[in-house]
Amino acid sequence: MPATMPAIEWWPTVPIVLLAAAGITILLTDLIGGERGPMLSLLMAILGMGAALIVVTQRRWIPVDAATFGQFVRYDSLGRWGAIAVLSGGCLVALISPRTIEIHGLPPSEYYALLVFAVFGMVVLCLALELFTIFLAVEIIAVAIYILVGLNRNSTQSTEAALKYFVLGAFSGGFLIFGFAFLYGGAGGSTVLGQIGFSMLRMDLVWGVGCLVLGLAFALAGFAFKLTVVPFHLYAADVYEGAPTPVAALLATGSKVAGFIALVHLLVPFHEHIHAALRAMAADLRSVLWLFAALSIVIGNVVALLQRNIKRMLAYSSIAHSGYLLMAVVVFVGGSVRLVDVEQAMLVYLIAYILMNVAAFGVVASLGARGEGNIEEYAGLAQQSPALAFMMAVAMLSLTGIPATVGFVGKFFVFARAVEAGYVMLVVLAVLGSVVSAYYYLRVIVFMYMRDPAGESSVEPLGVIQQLGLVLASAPIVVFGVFPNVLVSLLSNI
Amino acid sequence: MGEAFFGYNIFLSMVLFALGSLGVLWQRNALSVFMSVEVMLNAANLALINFAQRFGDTAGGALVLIVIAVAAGEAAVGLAIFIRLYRQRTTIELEKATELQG
Amino acid sequence: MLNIIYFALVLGAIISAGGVVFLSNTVYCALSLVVTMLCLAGIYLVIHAPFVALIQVLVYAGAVMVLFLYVIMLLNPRRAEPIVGTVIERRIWVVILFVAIFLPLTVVWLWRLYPMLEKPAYWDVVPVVSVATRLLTDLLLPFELTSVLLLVAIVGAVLIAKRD
Repeated sequence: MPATMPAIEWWPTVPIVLLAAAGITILLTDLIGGERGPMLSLLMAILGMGAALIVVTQRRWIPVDAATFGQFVRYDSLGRWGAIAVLSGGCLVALISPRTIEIHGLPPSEYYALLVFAVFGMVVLCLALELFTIFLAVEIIAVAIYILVGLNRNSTQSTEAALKYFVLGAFSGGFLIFGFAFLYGGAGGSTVLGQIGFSMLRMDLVWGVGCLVLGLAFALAGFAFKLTVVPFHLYAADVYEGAPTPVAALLATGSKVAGFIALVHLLVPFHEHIHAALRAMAADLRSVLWLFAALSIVIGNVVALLQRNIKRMLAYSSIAHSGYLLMAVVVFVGGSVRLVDVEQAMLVYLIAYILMNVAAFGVVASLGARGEGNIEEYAGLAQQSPALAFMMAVAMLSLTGIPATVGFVGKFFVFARAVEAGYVMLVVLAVLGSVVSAYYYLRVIVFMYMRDPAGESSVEPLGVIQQLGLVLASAPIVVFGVFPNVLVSLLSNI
Repeated sequence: MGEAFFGYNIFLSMVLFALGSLGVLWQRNALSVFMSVEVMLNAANLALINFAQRFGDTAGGALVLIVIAVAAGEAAVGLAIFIRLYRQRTTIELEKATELQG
Repeated sequence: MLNIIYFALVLGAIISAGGVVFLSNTVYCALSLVVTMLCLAGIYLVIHAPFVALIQVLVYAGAVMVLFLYVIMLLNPRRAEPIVGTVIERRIWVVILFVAIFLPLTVVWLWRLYPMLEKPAYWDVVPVVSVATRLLTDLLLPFELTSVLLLVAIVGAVLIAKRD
């Protein structure tokens, strides 16, 4: 049988190739680096991710729904915006990294190279529409992050966090591939997501639906670990606490964004209600997802209340936010709201989520050892560094969902769609959760502004790059919060 | 001739997967936990190759190779982490990893 | 005759997988895993997938497990002592959870799905040439992604394990 090349459009491959090339080049800069090494690596990382970002946004180079590699990778609206979000998040995380690299003595070129490779995996995961591409992208992200988490040689906490994340990640990878094996089998041998739904229904119905249930159950479990959804959230707080702060930021933002988008891609057949049998399954699926969302919101918020360490608090806060995001997925599976609206709500929330979390983690990273400790250490920050305190306050307000921040806009969109789809109880729970969360988010603000600083420790002045990263992360929180229509029109234009 | 075993193979794959995940939760030594994960991956491979043979799709065979490669890469990184942990603390029992409160 | 070999392999795989799960001596655990992989390789041969069987033995049982054994010997972990209390409690819950999840699954398979597949099957050999062809044409993207993954894994493994 003559070999046939798959249909490869070249422009859509450019962002992906750029990222891989950037990663490899950064590894090589170590050889020629010298003292300019760290700066050079950071520069290459930003250039690579920035160039990929620019290419992804251009409709004239990559048209809407452009596919390449024979439908394995496609730039649908969710995928494209997911890639944009992930690339922006990656750039922001790179910008807030220098202080941590300096303090903990992390090897800079390997750090930035692994960061770029992780972002590479995330971009592919957002765009992937085929089972094994998804699996490989998940594994690339996972392996890069296992290493990043354990990069701090001087800290046993870092190694322990890497161990726990590795065990968790390997376990969930096993679930994922097992589920995918059954999806593959149920579809009678096709792995492209678009074809699986149709193939399964062309085969015997019992076989198709049975394999779909099995495959989807395991694949969901695999994804749930990655997205820190309850009841699969166990080691998340430990990992965030032990990992270098920018790595925790990357985990909390990019990894989750890409994961959610891949999950939605996987569940597309349930939105479109191809077949009556799927409709029945969709109801069950919705109930399960509803339960996970509710549990995440409740447990994430309640346990966050009890945390004294700021990184653990942020970890449980991101568990709660996974719950809110999962609400949007529940609405998606329901199919009662227009696809465009649900996608828009999810994307707005995802973008808000990235901004708020990178800003919060960024301030934590900027404060060095003091910042990574307990919340009491933040006492009096407003007096010592008004700018940092302000940015942290903005991030905290946004995470709570106070109006005039992008966090409020995100929650508004998701809650509105959920009410439209009829999940009033879930929305009530989410609102209650947000009210509860106000306590632990605002507590940080209280410490910063209304307490006096503990010792004479002052805040070291930050480098320009660090400041730039913080500003780029926190300014849009307010801008998009006050002018949400800017964000919405941006989303509809690309 | 091999086709008669398809049903049994898939059943075996499920049993192995179940055993593997039981092992992850049961074992106390991190190395053994990871070996249980390898059992899970092997179970998935078994299912994959059987589905590939049953439906005549070569992609399944190719993908088994990819899964083996992924497992090898993951093993390399995981074992490196175990080595580092051992050098720092001379034990890799998960219950003793309590610096982070969990 | 083939049936006997096949069921012996299945039994061997299950027992050695049980060994991986329940043995507390890490070296025995690793050796059990090797036996499991070899039994699976035998099963791959029975179902006419010789290339995959070859790769399983060479790469998985051969390279990966040897790496495991190197590390196990290097780390020389002590035999895990049995402790009363938390470990046993957790294990009881684990067994309950395990039965609760996997029993329905196997029931589903045996009662619903398997009978459905008694229809004549299409059975094919997975030849080397066509696997290679697929990898370099249709499955080009997963192939390239695998190479990126291996690069990251190599860099990471060296970075984490090296002494300063």
